[in-house]
Amino acid sequence: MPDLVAALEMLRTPFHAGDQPTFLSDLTVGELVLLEEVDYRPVEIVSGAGSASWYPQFTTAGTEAQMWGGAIASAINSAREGIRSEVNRRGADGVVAMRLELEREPVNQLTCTMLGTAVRVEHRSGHHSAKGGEPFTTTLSARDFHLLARAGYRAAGIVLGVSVVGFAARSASQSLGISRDNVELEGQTNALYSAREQAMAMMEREAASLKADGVVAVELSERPFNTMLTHAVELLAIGTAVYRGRDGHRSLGPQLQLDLDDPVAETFTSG
Amino acid sequence: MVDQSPGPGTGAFQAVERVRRTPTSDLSVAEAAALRRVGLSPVGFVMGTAVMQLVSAYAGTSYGGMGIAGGMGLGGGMPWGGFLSSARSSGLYAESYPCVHGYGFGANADHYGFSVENTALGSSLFEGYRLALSRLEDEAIALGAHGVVGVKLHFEHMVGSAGTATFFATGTAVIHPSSEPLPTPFLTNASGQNFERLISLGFIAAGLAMGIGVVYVQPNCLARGSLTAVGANNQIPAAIGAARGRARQALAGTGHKLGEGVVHTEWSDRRFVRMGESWNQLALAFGTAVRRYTTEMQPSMTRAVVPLRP
Amino acid sequence: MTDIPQQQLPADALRRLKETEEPGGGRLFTSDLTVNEFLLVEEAGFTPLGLVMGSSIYQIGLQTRRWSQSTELEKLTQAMYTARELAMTRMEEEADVLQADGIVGVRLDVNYYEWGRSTAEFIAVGTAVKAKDGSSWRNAAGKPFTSDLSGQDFWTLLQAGYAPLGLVLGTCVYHVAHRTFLSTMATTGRATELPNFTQALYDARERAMARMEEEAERLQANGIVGVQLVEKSHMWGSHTIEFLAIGTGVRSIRDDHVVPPPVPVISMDH
Repeated sequence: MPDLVAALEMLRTPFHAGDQPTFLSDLTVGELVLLEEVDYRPVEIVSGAGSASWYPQFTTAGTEAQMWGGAIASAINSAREGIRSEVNRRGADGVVAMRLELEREPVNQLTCTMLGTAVRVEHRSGHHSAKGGEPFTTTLSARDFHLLARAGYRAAGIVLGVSVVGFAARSASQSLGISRDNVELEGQTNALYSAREQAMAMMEREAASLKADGVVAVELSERPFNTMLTHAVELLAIGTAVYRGRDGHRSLGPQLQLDLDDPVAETFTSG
Repeated sequence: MVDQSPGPGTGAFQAVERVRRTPTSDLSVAEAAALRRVGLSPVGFVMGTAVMQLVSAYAGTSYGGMGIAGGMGLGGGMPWGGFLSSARSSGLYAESYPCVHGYGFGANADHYGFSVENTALGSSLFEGYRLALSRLEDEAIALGAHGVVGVKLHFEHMVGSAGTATFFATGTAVIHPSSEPLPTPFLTNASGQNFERLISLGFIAAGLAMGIGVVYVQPNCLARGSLTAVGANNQIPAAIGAARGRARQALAGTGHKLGEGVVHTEWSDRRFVRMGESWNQLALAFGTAVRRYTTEMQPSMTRAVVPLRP
Repeated sequence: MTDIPQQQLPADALRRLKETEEPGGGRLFTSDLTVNEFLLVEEAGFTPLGLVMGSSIYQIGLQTRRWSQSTELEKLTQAMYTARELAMTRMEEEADVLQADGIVGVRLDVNYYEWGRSTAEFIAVGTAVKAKDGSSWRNAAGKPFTSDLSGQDFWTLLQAGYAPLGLVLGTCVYHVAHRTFLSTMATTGRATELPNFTQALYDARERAMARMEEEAERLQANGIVGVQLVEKSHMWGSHTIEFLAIGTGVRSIRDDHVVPPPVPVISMDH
């Protein structure tokens, strides 16, 4: 039974630091409860970072686009390698609720940082199952991780795909005369469509190489980049690869809930 | 009980007077209810502030200034080799990043770079937060509280006064009515609801752990994102790693004195105090150090629900 | 409205969709559903097959409009409709390649890149799904069902005894007349309704909703859920507005639509 009196009594005696390393966690207490319920305990806060730059202009679309996409992939991969090696050093199984930030300053440089809590599986019986394979790195929240684990899935890690498509400014506006007709612009449609598919395919290939069963929570982000000479769009697809459990999907039996709560009213509103 | 009321003129005295007149609380009804369920009652809103002059070892600017200060031609042929190697020998992070084009030092100011730990700035920040927290603790003690929940820390640059910052610590003091006061009240950044969950996990909040790391970065041509050199750079990731590493080490250090682990850590990193192309890479973390008071816990399993949205 | 002919998917699309096939008949699924939505789709008896998308970069032609007339701009209506249909049809064809029963979580977006005036990219993205028990869920047109319902709403809909048939939409681009100088002067300083404008806006909305209902009838739907009415000026200036009515047509799959009574709760967490 939760017992505040016993807890406060404990605080009256000074703490003696033992040899055990202090565990660190950037998870909230609520998140810790959710992880504990699926047998994971926090070990340490781990981090990784990567940074790369590229030439932002397009003269011949092919090589420049690859360099740009390659730089982005290398920044994110370095960050991932960094955080994985920290996880390995601590003997943990992976990182949950990882924060992934992309900073683009200056505009042709990308710095990717990752930060999260490394966790280790520890069954209630105290048994620590043997570690297998690469540590998982996931941006899934503790709550998503908990639901997946309960439904029988395992996170493999984040997977990513990137592609950049450029249109030299002249050809874009050349094909746009002032026309009275509604018309689809086939050239541009196909180029952008293909770039999206390539980014997705790259991400899927990475998941396949992990022998994952699928990728969830995919985020496809598109950033246009425009100068006098160039119109370009950078496409980035990031998702989390998962493994299905041997018995397939385990039902969670969700219940319908009717919330009687209203959102908290603002006392001070503008105007 | 001996009257330990603080004298007039102190911030803590003002807090006690304020609370005796009207008990205040910034807790929502739900949060107050969670605290009452474990047996704690809110006593009053408490606060601590401190205004500090921020000191930076590298408030200067260009590498040229550093060259003069650091002594010419020492350590590896770089004009600032001197101060970098002395920083390293004091156990601080320091790295030089020469120009990737292989240009001589001479007129190529924008091509050379270095990263070095800025302990002066780190200490100023740490001291500011520490003072604000100790004043918050004084107010809690004056109120006879057992602890403070929902501690929030923030700081603001003072407008109009360069290099000056104000540090704030706020929270709600709580008491367990039938217990004797503690030697020091516990501090936690967890809310009332999360405090309840902490107790049910078998832990009690012992105090706040804090860690700060600052690395001054003057980027070389590659890390600057200049168009003369592109590709992957190591300077920025290494500086971020060093700042974070230092913060983590300090977090574990302060936490180790108080409990078995640190949870609910709020972490922020940013580029701070920029000067031209250079900046200070800051990593700041504070969390709740916890001690286990029981190993017997109720097994639980959260229920999954799907809300019917209006 | 107009029929969109069979679309040629770009080679990259076909390649990506084929690549996810695994030996032994499995498939690497991808989805932009959140974890909650993914699990609820599985709970509902479906399994995700992959992310499907379709896009079209469309140039919207000019249409002259009389300054003082409130009227539908049919050419622009046609453009908005056709561009979206092109995107959706390509998305449906990707789902066909995966042999899907339907597409959930469809998002229709319009992107304006700075390429030129009156040019926009219309995108449709969704997750293709397949029924785990092998039953067929295709609609009256023989095509996989489409729906912009979230995973949560999809699960709830099935609990209530309905199945999605298809995304139905109706659109109307309307020009709202500018007022003449004299009539503006006549009403200065008075709080008064402007009946012409009111009527114009009613007219436009009704057309959009009626077209949406027509699409639902063609699918032989029993009803439309999740209707949203979106009003946007896009890049035409404030007197030209597109009214878009969008919803999911549904059919009844069992006679009783009784749902187990929900549990009233109060969240204690704020």
